[in-house]
Amino acid sequence: MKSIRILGIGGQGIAFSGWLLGYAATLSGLYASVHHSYGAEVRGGTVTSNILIDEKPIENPYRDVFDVYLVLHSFGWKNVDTDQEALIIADEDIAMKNSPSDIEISWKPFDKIAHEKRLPINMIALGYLAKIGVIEYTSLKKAVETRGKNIKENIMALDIGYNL
Amino acid sequence: MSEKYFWSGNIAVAEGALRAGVTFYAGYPITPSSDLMEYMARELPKRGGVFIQGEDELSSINMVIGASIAGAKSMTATSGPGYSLMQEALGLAVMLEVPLVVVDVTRLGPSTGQATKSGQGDLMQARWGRHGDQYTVVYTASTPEEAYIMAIKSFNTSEKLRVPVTFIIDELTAHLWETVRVPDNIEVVDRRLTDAKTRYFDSDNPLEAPPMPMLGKGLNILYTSSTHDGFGYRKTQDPEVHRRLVERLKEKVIGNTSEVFEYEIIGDPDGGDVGIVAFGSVARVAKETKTILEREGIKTSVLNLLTLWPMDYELLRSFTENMNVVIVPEMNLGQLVYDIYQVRGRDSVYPYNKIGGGEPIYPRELAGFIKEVVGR
Repeated sequence: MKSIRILGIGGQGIAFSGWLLGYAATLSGLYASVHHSYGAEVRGGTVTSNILIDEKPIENPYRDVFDVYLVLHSFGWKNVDTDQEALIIADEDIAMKNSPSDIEISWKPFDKIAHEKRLPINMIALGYLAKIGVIEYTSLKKAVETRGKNIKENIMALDIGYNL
Repeated sequence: MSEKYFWSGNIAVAEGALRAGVTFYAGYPITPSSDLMEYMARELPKRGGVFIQGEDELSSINMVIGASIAGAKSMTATSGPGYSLMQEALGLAVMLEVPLVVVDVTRLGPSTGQATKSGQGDLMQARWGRHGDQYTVVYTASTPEEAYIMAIKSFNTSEKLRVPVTFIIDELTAHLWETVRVPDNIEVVDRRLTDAKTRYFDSDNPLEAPPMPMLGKGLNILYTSSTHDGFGYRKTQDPEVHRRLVERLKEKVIGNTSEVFEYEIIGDPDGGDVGIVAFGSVARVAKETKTILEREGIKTSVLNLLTLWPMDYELLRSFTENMNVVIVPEMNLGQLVYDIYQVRGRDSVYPYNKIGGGEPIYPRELAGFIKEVVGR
């Protein structure tokens, strides 16, 4: 089973990213569970998306430890369990503040690229998750194509992330 | 062969309702049920039904009652504050024997509480929210897949017994997106109708609901919330008519407990070190907790309740009596646990309660609590 937690703030597309991973996994014949935690605000509040993917139906989707953390805003650090061994990927600009100093973090320039290329940060990060094997890249692309808006831009962003 | 979808719990409920044949929905938006309503607003008209957004919860539930009397399988969805507003009308639906389904997507109360956070504090309200002696059916689900099945079961029971059914789904399950397998064959019950002048509000067999009168056939039907005889005539002074009516309304539900009761047992139902009784999202946490405990040699069984009322106390008794300890985790301050006290007393029964913040009960946390209890 793969477990991923994506953390950020409202407006970054965190919940949509988690949803897309689950949808892509379902398209590829796997089972997925995705649930989010957020406040009442539309933008600016902390958002956490928890994703589990497995070959069989998932026993319990509610957990507090994950194999992979993707941190896209410094607000997210309080929901990262640093006691357990995990792969932690974080944005080198917007997640640097308040980051834990005692653990290994894989810093990536998602936000920088998003600004330069005027592309959505979440799609660039999802492309990168496909690169490291969290999700099959073809299913992710198919998920974007069948359900997403701005398909061309999103695929472009996925490709950039996948080739990071 | 079943088909697979990626649905949230709320969408699964809506799809289940559509499969069951719902043709009327009236509701008023409230977090965390609004996405169910939005889905119905989009899908129901496409599939031949009628969707209305009421000006509030009172008008919505009353429209649902009216539509059901007119012949439509009808429903609404709301959350705690809206569900409170609907109680008066639900009492009316009990008295008039109107089939309908109310989905209560539960958040944290009392009052408006924490709107986006999950809770299970509406259990007792769903059972007892109306005044007078009244009995309804309360279902729940712990996964979107169960939610689909139980939504259909809600309509089936509602139509069969002519009783309003409350479907409780906690926010964590309602907003959980999951791969859902939809079975090809599933039973759908349609209501028994009559176009004859007969007793629409009485039945010689109290376990069987009377048929509903068809509208538009020239039958002059009286629907009154006051005590009435089999033809619907008000009888507010006759003690025998009242007794017969209200006892039948009770027996119709309680007498059919085994018929309406749904549950799932994971593990050995006949005994062990630990028995966990739970519902909704917490039941899934209980399943993983079982896995954790068994790795450490603690034999554990889980009873996942899909029916919250009427309660099958015989089943509860047989599940709990041979467990060394019984754990009742709930996302409230202790409501379901009273059913366990009733069948087993308080000896070695441990509630585990967590509220606020919308945090689930985590498996590590529950396993830690249970290990501490078992070690005592």
